Formats: sequence, C-alpha cells, structure tokens
Amino acid sequence: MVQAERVAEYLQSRLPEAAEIAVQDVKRLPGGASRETWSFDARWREGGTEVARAFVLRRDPDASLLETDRDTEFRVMEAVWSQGVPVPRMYWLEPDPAWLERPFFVMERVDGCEVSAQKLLYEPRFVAVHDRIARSFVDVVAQIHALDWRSLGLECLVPPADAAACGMTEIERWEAVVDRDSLEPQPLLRAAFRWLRHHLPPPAQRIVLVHADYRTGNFLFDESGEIKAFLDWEMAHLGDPLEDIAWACIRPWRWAGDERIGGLMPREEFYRLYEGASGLTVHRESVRFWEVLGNVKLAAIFLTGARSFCDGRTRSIMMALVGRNINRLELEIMDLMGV
Amino acid sequence: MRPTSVEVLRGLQGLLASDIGREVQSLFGQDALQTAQMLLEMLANELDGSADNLYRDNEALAELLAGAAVAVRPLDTTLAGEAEAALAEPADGSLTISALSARNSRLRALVERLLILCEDAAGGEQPALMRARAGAYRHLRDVAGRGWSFWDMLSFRERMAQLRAGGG
Repeated sequence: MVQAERVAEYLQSRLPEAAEIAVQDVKRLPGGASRETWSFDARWREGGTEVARAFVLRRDPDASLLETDRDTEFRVMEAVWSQGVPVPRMYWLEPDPAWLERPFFVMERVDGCEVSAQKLLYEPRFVAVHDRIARSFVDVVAQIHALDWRSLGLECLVPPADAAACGMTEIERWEAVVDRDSLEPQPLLRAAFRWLRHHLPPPAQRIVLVHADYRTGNFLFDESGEIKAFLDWEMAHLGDPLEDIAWACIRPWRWAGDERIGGLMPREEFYRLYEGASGLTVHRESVRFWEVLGNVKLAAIFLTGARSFCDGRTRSIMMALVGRNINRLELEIMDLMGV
Repeated sequence: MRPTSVEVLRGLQGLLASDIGREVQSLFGQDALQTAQMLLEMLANELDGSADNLYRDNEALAELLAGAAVAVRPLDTTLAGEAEAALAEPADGSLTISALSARNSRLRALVERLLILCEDAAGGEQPALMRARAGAYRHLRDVAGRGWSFWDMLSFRERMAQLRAGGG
C-alpha cells in the first residue's frame, strides 16, 4: 500500500514553504507493468494562497516486466518536457526507500484524458477524431526524433558506436535478456536472433532519442483528437528512428485486429506522414528488421515477467499471463522472417 | 470425476464475473480480475489436450531430429551425437505433464541448436539442412498456433458476456 500520511510527509519534505498539506484519494491505477502507478490529490497553503494539484506516483515494483532504470526514465521525461514534447511534468525523483518502501518518482497527473486502446478504437466520440489522433501520433514521434539529445544532456543514454551499430546494439541488448530470463529452450527466438544478425539494416539516417515503446495504448488523448501526453519512457535510448516506427507497426499494437497501424491508419499513410514530418526516409527492409526485433523484444519482456513469477518475486498474475502468450509473437516473427 | 477440471475452471470464471466482479469497485481491482479471467480462459482451453499435445510434439521433434542427423553431422558432430543419444533414450512411458515436459524441453533444446545452425547456413547449398529447417519451422508454427491467446479479444469478450448473463 501507499499511505496518504506518508505521501503528505514526503511532500512536506519537498515543499518546505507549504503548510497544511492534505493528501487524499490515493489509489492504484491499472497498467504501467514496469512500475506501480498510483494517483493522488494534494492540497496545501503556500504564500497565503491555497494550492491544489493532482499527481501520479510511480513506484518501483517488487518485480517487473522490465528491469529498468528509474533515474533514466525521470531524466528523459524531464528533458523532453522542457522541449514541448507532450509528457507529464516531472516533479521529484526519490531513490530513498524509507519513504514508501521502494524508490519512486512523482509527476503531474494529466486529467480529462483516456489511455485505453479499446476506447480509442471503439467509442464513437474518439472514432470521430481518429484522423487527428493519427496525425498527432506521427507529429509527436517526429518531434522526439528531431530533439538534439546532446544539448539536453542525454549522452548518459550511451549512443551506439556509430549509425551502423544501432541494429546490433539492440540485438545484443535483448539477446542478453533472453539469456538471463529464459526458463526453457527458445528455439524460435534463438533462430530469430540469428536471422537478425544476418539481416542487419543499413546505418541509421541519424542517431536519435528513441522512445522504444511508442504505440497505441501508451498515450493520453481526449475528444479534441490531440495527444496530451506520451507515457512509459522506461526503455528510451539512443538509436535508429525506424526502431520506433517499426515498433508502432507490430501486430500486437494493431488493436483493431486488422492491418491498420495502431488501429489508426494504413501502413503506407503512416510512412508518408512520418516522412513528411521528419524529413527521413522509411526504408521498408529496415522496418522489417526492426519489426522482427520488436516482436522478439516483446517476447523477451514477457520472459522476464514469467521468470519473476516463477521465481516467486511477484504475485502479479499479469506476469504469468504474459509468460504464456509468447506463441502469437512467434507466429508473427516467422511470418516476418518469411519461414 | 465430475465436475471435471475444465468445468471447475469455468465455474471459477463465472464466480469472478458475477459475485466477485460486482464487489470490486477499483479500476486496479477490475483490471486484476480481468487478468485472472484471461488466465482461466487459457487454462480451460489447454487443459484437456495438454498431455496429448506434448506426447505428439515429442514424437514430431524426435522425427525431426532423426531426419536432420545426416545433414547436421558434418557441421556439428557434438549436436549430432547429442541428438542421437536423446533419441536413443528408452521412453519411461509416463504420461504425466512433468515427464512429458522434461522430454519436450530436452528435444527443444536440440532443435534450438539445429535452427541456429540452419540460420547460419540459410541461402547456402545444403538442401538436406534446409529441409530440416523447413520442418522445424513447420513444427514451431503448429505449436504456436494452438490455444487461446490474450490477443484473441473477440472470443474473450463473447465468453465474458456469456458468463455475465449467467451461462457457462
């Protein structure tokens, strides 16, 4: 549990000028499989005026689908927010587990929005603005890829050795996860890693900040058709922009069950809009490589969840569920490999 | 024995969808309940055929490895030898899931190495190895295409609607 009293004490430590801090409506939100997500409202008096704010707190889990670095996620979100990318405003990063048993960070809660892919795709009020959401989806990723990550101090993400190394860097990253977390032989994933090594894409057109989980289901939207905030930056790194484009395309995120990318638009339209917004070219064979890698990566993430569950490090049955859902990814990988 | 294991799982799904589902108000709780429902759906779909599937998979994997042996030997004598040893093991006759799974894991580990060999040789002039490769992928497709997945949302929605309406 996250106790309102402890959160209030924490806020007091961060807001020494504030008086009469009251925290209420602390509740856990679904989703956010890599960290627990909690929502709360806070009120206080400061400089003679009453302040009311809505917050989201993301706490390290007992075990996770991803073993990620919270400092990196916080730092990246803070940096992109400063450049006008739609993300929640970040407030505090707290590594000390003494406050709430585990480290956490606190950010703005963006109210009045939805995140559910099901609602996006099926509720008429959102269906009516699909075109605008699709455009916004493309514009935001192009905006992220255009950021000057050096001037934002994001060299800490460690860029690949050069533009030709982006593909191999990601292969090695995810192969290490499969090595570490597989509980049983993975013939298809092992073959896919081999296939990827033999089908490396041409060098990235430039090395950019890659969100790495850019997809329908990871952004807040409303009836205006505008994306209000992009979430889940825990896998952000420096690499090939086409990695994000391919990840957005993979079948698991085509929630509508047809071929539309993210359930929003035809593939060729997505490519055309992105090329127009970014000035980059979408090489079809490169996207194929990154889509195979994307499905392999998702399978690797699921293996991590399965291991956490089987090792008894988590009670989350979501980890058991994902561990038993690698089969459809395998089918997709084989289709993409053409085998 | 009645109710069968599958009938019990379906009963649990009905309980979660009706009585317990009505008591759970929080978004987080509802989300956890849905996850539990999906797991039960998956288990109910798999349970009856799981031993049979494993038994047949093990037969198919053994046949695949036996067929690949000649093509593998010149490239990897260790793998060829280990495959032969695995295939020569006397069957213990047990049809428990744990025994069948252990055998399945052993054979899949060999196929894992076979496929790595195949991918490194893909495009080359080794038709016997490429036949083994095609056979391995065919088998993996058969296995991966089975059962219920949480991406089969339509069938899941239908099941939930049925349960809420009081049907099994």
